[in-house]
Amino acid sequence: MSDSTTDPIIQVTNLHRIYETRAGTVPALRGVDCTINRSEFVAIMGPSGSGKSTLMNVLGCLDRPTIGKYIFAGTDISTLSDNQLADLRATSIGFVFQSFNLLPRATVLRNVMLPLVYTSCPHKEREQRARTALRAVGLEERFYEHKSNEISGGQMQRVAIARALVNNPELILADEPTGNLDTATGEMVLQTLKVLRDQKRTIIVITHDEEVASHADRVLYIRDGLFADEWINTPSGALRQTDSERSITQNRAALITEGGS
Amino acid sequence: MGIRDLLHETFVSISANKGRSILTILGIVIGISSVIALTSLVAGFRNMLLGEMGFSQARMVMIWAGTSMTDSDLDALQQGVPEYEMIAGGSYYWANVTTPTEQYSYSILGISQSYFDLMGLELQHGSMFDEEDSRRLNRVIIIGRGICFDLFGNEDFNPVGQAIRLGDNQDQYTIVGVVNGDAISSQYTTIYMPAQTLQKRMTGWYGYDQVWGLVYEGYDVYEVSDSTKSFLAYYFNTEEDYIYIWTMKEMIDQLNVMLAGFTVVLTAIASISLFVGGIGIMNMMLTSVSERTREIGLRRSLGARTSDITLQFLTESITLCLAGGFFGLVFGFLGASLISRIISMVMTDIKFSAAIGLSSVVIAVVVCVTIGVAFGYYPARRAAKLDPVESLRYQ
Repeated sequence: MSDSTTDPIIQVTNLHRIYETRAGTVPALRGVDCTINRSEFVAIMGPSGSGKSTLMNVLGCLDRPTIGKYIFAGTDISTLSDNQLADLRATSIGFVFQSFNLLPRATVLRNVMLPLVYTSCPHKEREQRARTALRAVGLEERFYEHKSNEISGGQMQRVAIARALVNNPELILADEPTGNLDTATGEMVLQTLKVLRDQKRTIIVITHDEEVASHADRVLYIRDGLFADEWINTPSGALRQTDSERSITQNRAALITEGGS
Repeated sequence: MGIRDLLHETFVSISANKGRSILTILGIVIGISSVIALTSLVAGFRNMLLGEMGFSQARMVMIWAGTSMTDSDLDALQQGVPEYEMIAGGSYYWANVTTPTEQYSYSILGISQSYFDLMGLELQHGSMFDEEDSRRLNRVIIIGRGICFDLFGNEDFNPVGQAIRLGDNQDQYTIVGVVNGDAISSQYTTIYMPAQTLQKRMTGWYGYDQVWGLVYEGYDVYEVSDSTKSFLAYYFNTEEDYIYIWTMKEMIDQLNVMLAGFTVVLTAIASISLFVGGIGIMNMMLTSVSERTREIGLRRSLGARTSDITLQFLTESITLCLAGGFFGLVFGFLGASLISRIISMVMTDIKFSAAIGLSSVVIAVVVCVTIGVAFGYYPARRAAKLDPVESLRYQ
């Protein structure tokens, strides 16, 4: 569902995620296909309940697909054990959450160093790497020893991004990264993500905010567990639907309609 | 996750909930301090019995040959069973001591020269009578501190050189020494004199009622006891059944079994507190897991394995238990020392002190770690099994 490429980091084929509940089965994803290239900034948009968070969890290796194939950086995720998935998250994936998810008892520096605890990174290197990551997101050094609940929301999100960066991951997944921030601070966070993209990292942002999506190279619309549309950001800043995807979009829409979903 | 990281996380987590942590470990503190205090007191009681009552020598054997034994019999036994380091004999008698105002009745023990060495008895005042006293049948005696108290009004009084009238003839005997020993010891109210003096001047018959032997270190007391029985049966031309040999080791073993049983019962009672303390730890850890669900989800998303989460919570529960154990040890030792002092103050006649040993510390540490693992494992596994996606959504 993307432009042809020679360097995909994510390849998803016919991905289903079905939850078993007391009320019955709930399909959250119903046959998602997509390819995301290295150094791409992709936004995944969709209304509430469309399956975008479920997709993020699967792409972030926090959850496994019920059916389908997910290949991350050339590795078939279904072949990995829980521990291998944990190791993959520790080394290759960084998460940024809407609610920051910082440890309130720990200092800013400690929060950023946290992912390194689960790697073989020597103690001596940890602080240095954390400081580098914090400088990369533009947080002033005087805040490093503050407790994370003593800084502002924008600073918290920058700390969260620094934490996602500290392991030098190939992929950064951001779930509504500007959801709890004012416009100016949100813009600053998005600019930070774009800088990271320019540094050859792959960025996937989950959002329902078109303003946020407008910063992405490509926007994937998800609805009822399926990609319903795909737009690319033109150099002029306008979004345009790709011709090759339009027919797929229409077919998917037809499927949904027929299925009564 | 390395040990340093684990300890750091544990310290941060526990210090974030100081009040709750302190309240939670109270059960462990009470349990450990009770166990330590009780076991220290029982061990102190054992030491008092073994030490003060003269049972300190597990190598000692008591011999009743079915007939009185003379010095030449003792020499024969020493040669026949060379595993004895020394052999001593004693003859019992009772005699009255009359003062201008009172009359007392005491046990008199006529002893051979090596008796005091064999029994490990020490003199508080004076000196031991010698071979010359035995040979000349000198009227010399060594008295217990209780007699000193009766006759001179103070058990620490030095009566050496003083004479008392003793026996049916009320002959004068000179006190040459006072033997150490508290009120619960047999020597406290015993008068010792050379066996020959007793036999010649008081009882009129010769021979020892009882014989004691001290086995060389390294030999099996029970085997030497069997050899002695065989030798004496042959020597006196009698049946082995008529010879009775009783070892101190046997008594000490019985005492140890009895006190071990006593300790087990007391420890079992105190362990109820430990069990309740363990439940408190589990409850706190379950609460902690519930409160930190999002944190657990975050850690999983950052690459923590299930084993990392298990270890983190297990380390917290073990640390809590060890902290409780540490304070329990301190309070237990203080409690045991206090009780010892109270006993010594109330019962001035005996010397009692709680026996606080390294083994108590080791046992407390092992118990605390065991409780930490036993009651912390379930919450830790529960934390580790949390679904990371659900955990991150948890409000």
